[in-house]
Amino acid sequence: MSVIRQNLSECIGCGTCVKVCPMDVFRLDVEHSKSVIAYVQNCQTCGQCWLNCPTDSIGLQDAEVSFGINNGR
Amino acid sequence: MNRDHQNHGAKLFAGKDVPRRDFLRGAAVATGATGAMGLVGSSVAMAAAGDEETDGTFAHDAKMTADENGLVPDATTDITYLPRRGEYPTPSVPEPDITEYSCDVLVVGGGLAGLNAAWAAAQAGSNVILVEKATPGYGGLSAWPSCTAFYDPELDADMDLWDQYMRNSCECFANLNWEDAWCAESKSTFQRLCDWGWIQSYPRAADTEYWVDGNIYHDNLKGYKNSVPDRRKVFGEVLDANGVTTLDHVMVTDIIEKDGTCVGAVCLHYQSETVITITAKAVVLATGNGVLKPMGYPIGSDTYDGLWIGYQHGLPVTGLEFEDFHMTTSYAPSNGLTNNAYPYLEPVWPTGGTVTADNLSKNRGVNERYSQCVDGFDLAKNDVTLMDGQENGAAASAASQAGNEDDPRKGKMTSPLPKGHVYGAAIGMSVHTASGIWCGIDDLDCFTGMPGLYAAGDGTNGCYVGGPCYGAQRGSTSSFMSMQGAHAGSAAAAYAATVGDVELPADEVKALQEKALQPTTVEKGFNPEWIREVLHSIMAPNWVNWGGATEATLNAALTNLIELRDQVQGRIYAQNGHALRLAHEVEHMLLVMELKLRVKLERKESRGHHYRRDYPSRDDNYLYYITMTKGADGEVVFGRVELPERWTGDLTADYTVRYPGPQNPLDAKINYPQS
Repeated sequence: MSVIRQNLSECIGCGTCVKVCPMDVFRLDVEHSKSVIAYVQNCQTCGQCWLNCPTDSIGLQDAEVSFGINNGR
Repeated sequence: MNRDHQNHGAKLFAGKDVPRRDFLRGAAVATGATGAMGLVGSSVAMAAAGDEETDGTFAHDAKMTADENGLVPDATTDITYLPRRGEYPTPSVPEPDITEYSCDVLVVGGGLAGLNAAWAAAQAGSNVILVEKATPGYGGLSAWPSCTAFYDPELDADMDLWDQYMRNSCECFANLNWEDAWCAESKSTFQRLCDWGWIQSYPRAADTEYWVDGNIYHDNLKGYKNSVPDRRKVFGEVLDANGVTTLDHVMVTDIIEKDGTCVGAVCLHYQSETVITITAKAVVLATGNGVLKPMGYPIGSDTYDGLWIGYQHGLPVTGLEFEDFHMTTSYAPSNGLTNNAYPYLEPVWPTGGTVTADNLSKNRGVNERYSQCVDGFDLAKNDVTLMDGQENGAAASAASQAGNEDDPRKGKMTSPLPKGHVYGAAIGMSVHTASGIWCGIDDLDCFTGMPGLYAAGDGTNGCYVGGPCYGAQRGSTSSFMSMQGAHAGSAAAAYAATVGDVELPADEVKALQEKALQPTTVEKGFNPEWIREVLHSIMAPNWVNWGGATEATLNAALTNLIELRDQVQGRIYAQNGHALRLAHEVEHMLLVMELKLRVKLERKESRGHHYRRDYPSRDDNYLYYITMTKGADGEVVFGRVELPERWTGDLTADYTVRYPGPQNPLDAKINYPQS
């Protein structure tokens, strides 16, 4: 259950994915004019980013991404 | 080029200016039923045969896979790999210029309830600020409704029949005071949503060239998307048109209370870890429902924020024992878009109305769902082409089929959706409008009892408009919460007009500001994502919720939860702004899940979406709302709200007359031998 980057060179840095994501997955790299999939593990695969992306930079996959988080530190 | 594919890490990032992503060292992937195999450590990026230079992008990397010949180029276009390709480093987000605000009415939440509250308060002349964790219209559940119902006094059933329908469909538990208000105002509410452009006419997807079979991997979803208007941007337009100051990506962490009165709120621009303080004469909480993990249903940003605030300030909360379990497809179980693409994209169809004798007792599907859980799921249904029939969702209302020709609801329906046949989507979510802050039997102002504080919307105002069940009509939640938000905004504005200048209590504000940032100061402790995973695994099993709990299973879950809570309380760390938001959200979930388990233990019967295997039938000794209030020592104090006779119906009637259908398989065996 996560967003995926299909092709970073297609991203035009419009910031739409950053704006529409309810889960704070994205950031906008203003200097390079690219979005950043920063917190993929919080993605709920609602697909709003993909639906609203004007290019084909973003995709969706059914695999859930999580990270090996231990009990504490 | 070194083709040592044992050493994946060093060779993954060949591009210029893109550093290694450290998090990948700990990455693990859990796959859905599509079985994307060998993902961890697979697909090593190498130059294509011939070793040509890359240009610093990853478009030219060859994807590799494995077969009996070893590593071979992967010619498939199926994208099922980790986002291993380097993203740019996560940039920092600049702090906002303004960190202090003052207003008449502060609305917390930019969904349907909050939007209507802000509109109503602005219309009444208030100076309004709206704060939203995401972007208004795009967060929470308000981005996803497929239909909106209304009651037409000229076309629909009279109120006596309507009352009977509500009693039968909502287990004698529905709040008929709010239902009366809805019947009187739903049509004008519907009209308002049309005037705003949130409801428009355009072809449904199944009637367009973009449709193949309703499977999002087959249809031209983006083609359809580009052919229809985006109703979500209407929210921002309406707020701007009404002069509302909108703060997006800001999360309220608590209200400010002074001498028992609400005087504002402390918030976080969480991405930059900046505290924002808002002085307000009145606050409307419209923060939505809640969920532990969405898993196939797009509600992940709803995290019981308002309910947590209300409880901490001594207000009674209710309705948490009723679960709104959702289904998802087994071939893409955690993919919310698979099941909800067309509710997102299609017009909001008008529905509802025209109750007839035939549909006097709406089939809520509760018994069917429980039966499937108990008896097992039909694995023959694990089929990507299986769809709900044409008569789906919005179409399942009498007005759609039986309404007269002038009725705008006639003939309207949504496109078929994939048949969800696996449970587990949206664990932790409560039945619409059952849970939230309890505002009183006679309340229609959304007034919480604390001067200056109002609560509106699904999951925030526990008003039980659908009783303990999923709404008596599809589409009623979106119109109900729009109407309720307007009530709250009007009441908040009227109250604010009576309030002079507000001065914030400096010590209290300082304490709240520190609490907001506290997770960033924790050096040793617990990751909020881990806490959420553990909480989810405690609450997800069907023997805790929709499959029927028992005294033993609930106590077992509560034991685990209390241990978790006691270990992590005050020790949830946040390494960045994103995690700071998660830290607060998971604290809300810890409280709400505890309250949920405690009240499920307390309600020793089955009713609506609360199923106890050890008490499988409705027991009218429990025909009351249960409230929970924070006691002096922090313990939970239970309360009881007696219901008016009009709501409960004739208590002397037989069980099967009062409750025309079984709640669950055990209830069926005991009380409905003929079924």
